[in-house]
Amino acid sequence: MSIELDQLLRRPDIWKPGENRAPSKTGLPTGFAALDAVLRESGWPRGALIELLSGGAGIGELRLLLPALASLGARGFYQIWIDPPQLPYAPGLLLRGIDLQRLVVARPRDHRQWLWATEQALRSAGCGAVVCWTGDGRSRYAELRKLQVAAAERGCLCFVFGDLRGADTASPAALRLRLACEPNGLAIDILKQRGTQAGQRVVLETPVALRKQASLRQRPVVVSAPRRALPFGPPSRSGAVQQEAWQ
Amino acid sequence: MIRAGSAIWVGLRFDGLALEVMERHDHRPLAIIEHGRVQVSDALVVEAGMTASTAQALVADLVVAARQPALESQAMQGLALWAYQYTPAIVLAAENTLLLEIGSCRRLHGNLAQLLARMRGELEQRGHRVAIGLAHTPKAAWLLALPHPPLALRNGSSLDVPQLQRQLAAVAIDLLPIDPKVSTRLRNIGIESLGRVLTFDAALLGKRLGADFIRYLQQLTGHLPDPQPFIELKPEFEHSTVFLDGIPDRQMLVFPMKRLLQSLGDYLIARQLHCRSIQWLFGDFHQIRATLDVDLSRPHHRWKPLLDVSQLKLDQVELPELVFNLTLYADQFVAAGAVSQQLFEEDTAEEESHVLLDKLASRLGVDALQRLGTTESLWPEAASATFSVTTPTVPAAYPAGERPTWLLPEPQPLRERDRQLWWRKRLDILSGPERLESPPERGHVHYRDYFIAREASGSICWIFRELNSGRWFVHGLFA
Repeated sequence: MSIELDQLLRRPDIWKPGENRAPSKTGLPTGFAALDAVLRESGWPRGALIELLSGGAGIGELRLLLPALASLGARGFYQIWIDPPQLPYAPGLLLRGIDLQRLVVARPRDHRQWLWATEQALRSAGCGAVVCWTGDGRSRYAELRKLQVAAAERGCLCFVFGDLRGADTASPAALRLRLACEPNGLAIDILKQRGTQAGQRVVLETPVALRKQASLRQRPVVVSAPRRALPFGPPSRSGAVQQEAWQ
Repeated sequence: MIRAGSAIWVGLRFDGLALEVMERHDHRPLAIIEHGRVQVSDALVVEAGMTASTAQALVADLVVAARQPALESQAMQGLALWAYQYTPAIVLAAENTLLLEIGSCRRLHGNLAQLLARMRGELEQRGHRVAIGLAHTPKAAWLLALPHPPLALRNGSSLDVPQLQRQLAAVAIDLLPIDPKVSTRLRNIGIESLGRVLTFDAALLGKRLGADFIRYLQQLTGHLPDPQPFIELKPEFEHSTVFLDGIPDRQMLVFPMKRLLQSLGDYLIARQLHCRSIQWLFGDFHQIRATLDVDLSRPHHRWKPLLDVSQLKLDQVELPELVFNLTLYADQFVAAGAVSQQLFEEDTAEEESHVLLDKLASRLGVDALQRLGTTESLWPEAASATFSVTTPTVPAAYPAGERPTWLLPEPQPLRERDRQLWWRKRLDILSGPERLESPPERGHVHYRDYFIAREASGSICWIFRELNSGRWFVHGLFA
């Protein structure tokens, strides 16, 4: 009896109140030092459900995951994306280090298939990460709990994108983040973090690569820049943008 | 008197094979009948040689079935495939016995006793009872694998010559696979065991018992060479299982499927092949009623992934009410290269991921799984392509400039208001342009100037201006 209880308490998904665990480095680095600093395991927790809630697609949510996903691919692990809202664009993923040979996009027909496919992927030893989109934004607690258990089996990374509307319902996720677009980058609010306090806020600035395109002239596809002033642009920066374009 | 050469022969005798090839799903005792008499039974009180009616009188719920020579010989073929992992020198001998010559590859497998224990363990796992004989000649190995007394004299894992001599000497004349007239004549002159025969002078015996018998003795003792017909593998794989009572339930098919896939696995390892697809045939008493094709995302040689996928697909097949015959057929192979079995097993992460893909494909359909790749084209709509998950490698060429991670299905027009671009919110250009040229279409080439812009909300967008019309569109998102 007590042995069973001991085993139960040792499970990583059981949190004992009052226990102050020392920060460990068992997580997979996110690729953003500011974010690693506030995560308990100094990175994405493995074998645990990570819920990402946002108001819409295309706000920088993939940029947040791509460094970690690229590092998994480099180590020979597959990743499965289940039901992404748009078509992932291969050239853009390749530029960010994603191993296209080990990326599979799955399109389940209905929610039951979605749940089944996600669970199978999480339980497979060949799969390093599962990234899934819940579609309508709402998954039931019991379903997420099932995924949490499946993820714990092999230590697979499990990212679930959901809708902001779900933020006030309870979730079995080990880590729950709210993502929001801000003028200077992506704001991340930690809504819940197992084993430690939540409530931190990190803003990841838009990467320089997107703010400034380097050495345009070396690219053979660029015939020439238009020989007239750009009609549009922010008043404060338009001069600088023009210069980059003209040089 | 025994001449010990460098050859080591292992005789593997399967006396329970007639029982083992019968698939049953209840636990009633079974007796196999041949020529009206019990050949073998798993009921303790029923002995070989009893008539069927005596046996049935002894055991009330005894099931009686005729011997199935075709199934037995197929099972022996399957066992020969299994034996290929130890040696290519395999002989299908009389009375359900396999003879393996392992002397030439003994070093590969280490200690002889361990090797025999491993063989026995593997065979038991497959549900086979085996008697093992070990000797320097094939004929002696065959004799020593006989299950009859003198069991006490055999320990089965030693090649010690005096001991072999004692073991062979104890074999009764009746058991020798020779002309019955010769054994009768031997008994008539008071010779009951092989040991007595071997004490006589060969030339003297030859005059009375014939040259064939002398050749047999000389080959048995290693004084004459004994060339053996080693088996060769068939180019395709086909194995069947027959069920006595018919299988009413899909779940009950899984175990026999596993057995058949295990022999396929043996076959693939023996021939150093991987298979690309397999076919299951389900039959009732008369003919094949349903088939199930299982295609794999990548050629495999292991039975476990094949079973997982077959099991998932089994739900989609309309089976006959009772399945009496299950056949596994495979003839689509690719060479695996000369890699040993152990090396195969190491690549587990890659292997496991293919197991997963096969599982997903069989439940969601192959079309529901995609791989993404790039093309030679620089034109954004054509630069990305989706590929079937069975594609071994997708092309991945780096783009010339910055590219978004989502591409909109169609470019969406932007509005211009007060010299300001708008999509959902106001757009500010961050960088650009990069000019891209379309592939020629009826002699026309289109140009687009691409910019990276930030929406007031913070989203980073990929927008372009069509050079001909001067109109603006949003084409992708740096998600």
